Amino acid sequence: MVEMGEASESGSRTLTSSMVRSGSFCEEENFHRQASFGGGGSRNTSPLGRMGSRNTSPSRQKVIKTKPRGLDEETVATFTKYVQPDIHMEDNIWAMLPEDLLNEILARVPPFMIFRLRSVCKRWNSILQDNSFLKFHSQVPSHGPCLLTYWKNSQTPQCSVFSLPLKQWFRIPCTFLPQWAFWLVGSSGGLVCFSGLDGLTFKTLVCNPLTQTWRTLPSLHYNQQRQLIMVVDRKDRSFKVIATSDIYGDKSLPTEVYDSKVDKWSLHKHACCKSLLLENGILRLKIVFGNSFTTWFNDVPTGHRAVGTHTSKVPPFSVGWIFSSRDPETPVSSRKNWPL
Amino acid sequence: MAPKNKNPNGENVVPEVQQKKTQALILKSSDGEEFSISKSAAGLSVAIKNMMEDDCAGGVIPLPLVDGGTLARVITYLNKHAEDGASDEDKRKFDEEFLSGMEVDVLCDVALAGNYLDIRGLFHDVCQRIVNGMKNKSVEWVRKTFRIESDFTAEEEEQIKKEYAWAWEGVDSDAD
Repeated sequence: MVEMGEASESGSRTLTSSMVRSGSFCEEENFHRQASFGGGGSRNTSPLGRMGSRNTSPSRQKVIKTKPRGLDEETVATFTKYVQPDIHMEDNIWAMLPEDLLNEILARVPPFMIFRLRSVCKRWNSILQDNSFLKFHSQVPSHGPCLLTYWKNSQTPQCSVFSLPLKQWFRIPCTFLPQWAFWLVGSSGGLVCFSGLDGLTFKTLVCNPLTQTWRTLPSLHYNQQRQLIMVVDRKDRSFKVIATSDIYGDKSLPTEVYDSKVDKWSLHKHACCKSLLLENGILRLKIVFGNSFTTWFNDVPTGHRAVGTHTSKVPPFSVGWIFSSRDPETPVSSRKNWPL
Repeated sequence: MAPKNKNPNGENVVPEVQQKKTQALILKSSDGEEFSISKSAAGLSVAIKNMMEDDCAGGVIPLPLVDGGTLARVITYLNKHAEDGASDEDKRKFDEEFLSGMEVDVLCDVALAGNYLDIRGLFHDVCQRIVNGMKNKSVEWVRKTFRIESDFTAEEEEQIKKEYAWAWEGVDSDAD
């Protein structure tokens, strides 16, 4: 059985674990380039809809805003064009499916299954690698939580991921990572963060084990081993890494926050974070600001890999609930910010 | 009261629709069948709601993209979700049972109707149901169930498999 818990404190162990969400393993593009992702307010259910393919819902087209009895000829003509292939599915039902329905269905496929389903046929293979599809996939609510373990023996470092929704282990090789001494920091939104030591320099590395892409973050201002926490903001398609001293560390050092959108570490008034993943999937989070006060947050549901952005107020941190895997339907707007 | 499939003559068996005291609407399917539905139930479809708001009280709403069998299913769903006093738990159980008996092509028809009529809950549930059926299934199973013929050569297929070998772990055997 895998050790579970204390993901972000398990610095020196070789086998560590943390909870991740499999939700957005495929944010590969985001990984290389934090392109600003619009999409705000779009009610269109399919990325392809935005690309000019037809939308099958009349309410979105507003075509139906016509008189009830007897649609006008143009509308009927528009509809009947669609009717035959869409409604009467024949031998190859999936070949007949409108592209946007196929997209909607495939967007709900857990990330692990994407790679296998690529081999179904060329059409699926091309959809499942399409950038706009992958963006769409990452916007669809949670695929559920996963347990991530990282194992390094002399030959092959690998991540073993247990998908709770699929009730299945996947052993994903991490041989693509550089040959440093590194240890698991934590994971969020499908990305995995490692802390490493390359010679005498502490490095922070973030990777996507599914797409086998990785990058190192710029050097910290203070070359010290720090307590690290990574949070992914799926809506914003960005991530942050927060480096603080742990409660036993040097409290005189400022807290550093890396923001992937600007690719820089910024310095902040000292704060110290400690998170504990408890047995029941509850994250307990401790934030200490200077010597002035300490706050514990209990009952943070799994998936709320907390600790968010700084604000202009003093003290400079707020805790941001990133997302909930317990309730995948929770709209983004229900995220909370609790200023300290 | 679940609607039945088409009978041997190709005609749909019309579900027994409760005539509520509330005003009713008539929905007309692509194959000309008419279904009565309460306004409260029909209003769960954003598309129909928009049409009602455009003043078609008492009218017949033609739905040229939905056949009778599918429409009957959708109406069963809407009636349950508009039912007074049905708890969320009741609805959840109903949804599960409602969808569990459907074949993939029926599910696809219902999904299309859900999208067309803009019933987000139904559309989401049906898509999710289709995906759930694919979990832990082999590629061959997916092809067979969805009647897809592979257009890959053996070498191409092998190449994809080799690249992501880990993704083939834990697949159910095709005998299942």
